[in-house]
Amino acid sequence: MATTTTTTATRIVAGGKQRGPRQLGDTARAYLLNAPALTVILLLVAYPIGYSFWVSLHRDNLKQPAAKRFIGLGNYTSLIHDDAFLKSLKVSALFVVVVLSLTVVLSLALALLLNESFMGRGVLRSLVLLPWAMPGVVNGLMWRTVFDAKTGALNGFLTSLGVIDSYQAWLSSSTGAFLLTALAQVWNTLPFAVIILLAGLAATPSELYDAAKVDRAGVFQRFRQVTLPWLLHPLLIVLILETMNSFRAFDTIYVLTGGGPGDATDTIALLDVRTVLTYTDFGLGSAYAWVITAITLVVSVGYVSLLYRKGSFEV
Amino acid sequence: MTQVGVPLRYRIPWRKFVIYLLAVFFALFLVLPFYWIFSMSFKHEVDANAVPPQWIPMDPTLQAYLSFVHPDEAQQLVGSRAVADTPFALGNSLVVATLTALLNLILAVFAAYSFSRIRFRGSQVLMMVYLLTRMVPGIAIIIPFYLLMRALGLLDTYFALILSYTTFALPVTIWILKDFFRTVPRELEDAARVDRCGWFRMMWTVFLPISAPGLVAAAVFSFMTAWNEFMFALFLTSTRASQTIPVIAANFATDLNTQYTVMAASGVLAVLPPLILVLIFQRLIVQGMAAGSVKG
Amino acid sequence: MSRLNRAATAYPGAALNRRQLLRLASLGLALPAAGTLLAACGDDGGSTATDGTVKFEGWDFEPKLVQQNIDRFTGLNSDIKVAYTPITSAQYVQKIVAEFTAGNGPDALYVYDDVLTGWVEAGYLQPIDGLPGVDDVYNAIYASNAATMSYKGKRYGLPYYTDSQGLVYNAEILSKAGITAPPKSLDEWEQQAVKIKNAGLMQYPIGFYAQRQDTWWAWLWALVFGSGGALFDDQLNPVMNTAGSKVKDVLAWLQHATFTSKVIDPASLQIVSAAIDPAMMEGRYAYTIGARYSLSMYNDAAKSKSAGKMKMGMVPSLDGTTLGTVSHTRMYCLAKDTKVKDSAHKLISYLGGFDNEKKPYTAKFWFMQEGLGFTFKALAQDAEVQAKLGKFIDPAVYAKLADVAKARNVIAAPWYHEYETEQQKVVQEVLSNQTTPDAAAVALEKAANTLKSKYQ
Repeated sequence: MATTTTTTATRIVAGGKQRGPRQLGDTARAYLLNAPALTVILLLVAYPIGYSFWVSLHRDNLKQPAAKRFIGLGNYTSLIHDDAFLKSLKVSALFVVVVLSLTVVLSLALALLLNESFMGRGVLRSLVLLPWAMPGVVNGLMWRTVFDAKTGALNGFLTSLGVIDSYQAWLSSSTGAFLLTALAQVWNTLPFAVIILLAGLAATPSELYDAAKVDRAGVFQRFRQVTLPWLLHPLLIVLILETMNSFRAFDTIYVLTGGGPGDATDTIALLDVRTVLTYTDFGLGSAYAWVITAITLVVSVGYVSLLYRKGSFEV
Repeated sequence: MTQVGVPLRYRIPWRKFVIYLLAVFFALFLVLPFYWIFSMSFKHEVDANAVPPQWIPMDPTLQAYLSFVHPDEAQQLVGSRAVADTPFALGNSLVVATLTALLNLILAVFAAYSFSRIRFRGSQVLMMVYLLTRMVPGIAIIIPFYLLMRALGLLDTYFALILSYTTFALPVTIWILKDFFRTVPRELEDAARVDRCGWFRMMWTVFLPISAPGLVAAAVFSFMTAWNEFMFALFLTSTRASQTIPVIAANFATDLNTQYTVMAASGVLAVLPPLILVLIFQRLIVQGMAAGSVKG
Repeated sequence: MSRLNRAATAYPGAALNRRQLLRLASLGLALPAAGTLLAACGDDGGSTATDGTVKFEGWDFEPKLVQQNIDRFTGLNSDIKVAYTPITSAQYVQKIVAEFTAGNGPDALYVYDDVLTGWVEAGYLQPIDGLPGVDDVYNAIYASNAATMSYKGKRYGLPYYTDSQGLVYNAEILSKAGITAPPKSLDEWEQQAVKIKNAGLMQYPIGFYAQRQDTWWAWLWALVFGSGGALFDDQLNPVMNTAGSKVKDVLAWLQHATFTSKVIDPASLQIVSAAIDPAMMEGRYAYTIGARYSLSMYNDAAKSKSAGKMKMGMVPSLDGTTLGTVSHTRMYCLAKDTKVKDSAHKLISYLGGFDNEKKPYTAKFWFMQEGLGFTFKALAQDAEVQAKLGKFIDPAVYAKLADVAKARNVIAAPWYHEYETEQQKVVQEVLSNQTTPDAAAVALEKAANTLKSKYQ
């Protein structure tokens, strides 16, 4: 039974329930179903989000309560001259790019691998989930001991292989600290990406592979024409979620390097936490946070529109 | 890739070779770091930082784990409470994570159903709104959150954490579930309609059991989100009544005079419950995500 | 319903049927039910105004000993109840800030000297002038401590402990290299370290905790003050870039010792302050700069492998004759909006001042137990204190360090923490050869000036 709701007439999809004379429109029903989740989220998160945006429009530093006042977009405009902020933005951008590339490459490889059948596949599948079970703090501590300059496993491993002849202080150089922190972050968040991609692969109908085999398609051709289109949607999910996560990544970096050496790993998330909690500059800290939010939103929308052309989907 | 013209028995199984090589590489990559602290937790403190490192503990001992059972003896070095708090933290984490998963499922099922079955105005925007709440960094909302929980009198209770984590996990949970629900055949619901089943009854008896893999995937995701979260747990809790395992693990890091073996043991314990959980459900998790990731 | 059931079980994707789902759900509900019950017994965390209990919070250094002292206090003052909550030290400042912001703060608390002014300005603390016993205490303690606990002419704290930094060295390692006395100048220090290195005893004899952290790098301040230098003048203007501030020379020495003589461990950048203690106790470094009380741990046979070998000397200076170091103070303060002011004041007076026998019981207690420095001048003559001192440190050095120690004057500025972060960052760049000492001094000066104007 079709009911026209308002101007955009949407046809009811089969599966709508038959009710009695009292009939709810589709849109109304949909929002009713969303009500519980929406209520919880709005009640708990709307106030904090709104509050934080409101605070970002003020000069608000606990150390100078007398100076607290409304300054509109003053915090935001000051960011142009804020060296610490600009530097941390660069570090974050680079960090996100490195983490994202590594994650996509590794998770894709792992997912493709796990899609093949071989002896021990079940074991590998279980192992993939191991890093996911580790809280970020524990992850950072673990990698600290691995990268330790005097007693770390990495040093021991490379020495016994003969790759290096003396223990190195990996985290004491800018590039070393940056890359290894990115590695620690990738390791921790890889499982989720693998699962999503693997699921996408598993959903690919096998007839397409058979057809490709009949056509004598090479490995790469097969990948491009059969596998890749079916991976686009999962890939989008991975990209959006991992971008959000790596911009906000804090626990692992904080425990591993604290932002150093110098400011090599001082991402905007670390700067933000330090600004709010150590410097107690709530106004500026909130502004930083909203910049992170805006960037993440823009990037996510960018992903969707970029991949939108390749296939029809919604978020 | 077949090598044309080469006799059958000389065909080098490149594919298999590459596959096994990659499998070994990844297995090592995934396991070795964890194995390092796993083995450290069974060493004596002197051996923990030995150079060259002992890959297999030469003199394995349960002393680190036993110190959790008898925390007072382990405390002779420094009066920190991290060791004594660890069992409580594990319990708290289990409760909070489980309840978060349940609450998430309940709320998300309704919302996801609407996205999967109904085309309604503003659905894209609504989904973006859900995701937007996850784009705001935790640090921005931690203080007002703290104020809110204080006003509700929920500081240092499970509820504060459960409510917080539910809001964190909901957007992605809804996303996962809606994709999965789309693949459930409508014939089932039609059959229910013909049988004059109410909507709730239909969901409970038909729809949800079919969606079990998706539900499991969503539940595991919310469990993990709750289990791993640190910042909000740190601020919203203050005693062992509700402190979770990441907070206690962080204490080990800043502890004066940390015993590395005990810290390693606590790391292993922090990972064990969720690890067991995902191992039990791993097939279902993949299945749950699989059916949902169809094109379009 | 039969058609439904058939349809349901026929679907290949169904991994669980209804019964299994119910079983899982009931198991899932059992846990939370228990949890709900437990939650009901959870800590209330509410205000203590109603029952008069004093809410006392501090960072978690030896909470059992703290509780012991509190119990002694409540034993002597049976009408006062105290609820003590230790907070993990790495997040202490943040948590207290969050609590006060929410109106949920303690009645009495520990305060670091470098957050005092910020917290006074934020309205968390109230002055204790005129309260009973305060004058007596202030008359009995060292002047520098008294100054640190005061702000804008008002007094805010009663002393918990104080300490200063000195040169920590492992006498056994030194003697193995043929060195009999600790170095007096930075150059001599470098040469001694080279000697130890060449004797094959260790690759890097000097180590510091130089990872970026939320707390200060005491060793750096000690090195600057030790050479008679300064980072800020009395008006809190940055002077590190001026001639005579010695800062550039100290930084140059640090860089030289790390990259030319290669005696300072480059991995110092990965070491946090908590990790330097186990490193010294295991004999991984021959020298570091640390607090006097750390020796009481290093020389404790029950805790340390190097017990009996660790000694303290004066901080080496650029010219070899100047003596100086940095001191810090920790104190007890009263919350501004506490509703149990009298009880809370009695508590902190007992802990930070005199007990009912007019003796600084708690200060002496902390010294005897953990070697924490005391602020009371009289305790220096106490026989037991002298005896204990002799067990872990040279009493003459101990007293001399306290004599020449200066507090950081810049902690009175609201931008101190931002400056300290910047300083750590810049010095890390010096220690990793990414910048020159001259450029570093310029960067520090620029940062300080920017911060000053930002807070105008």
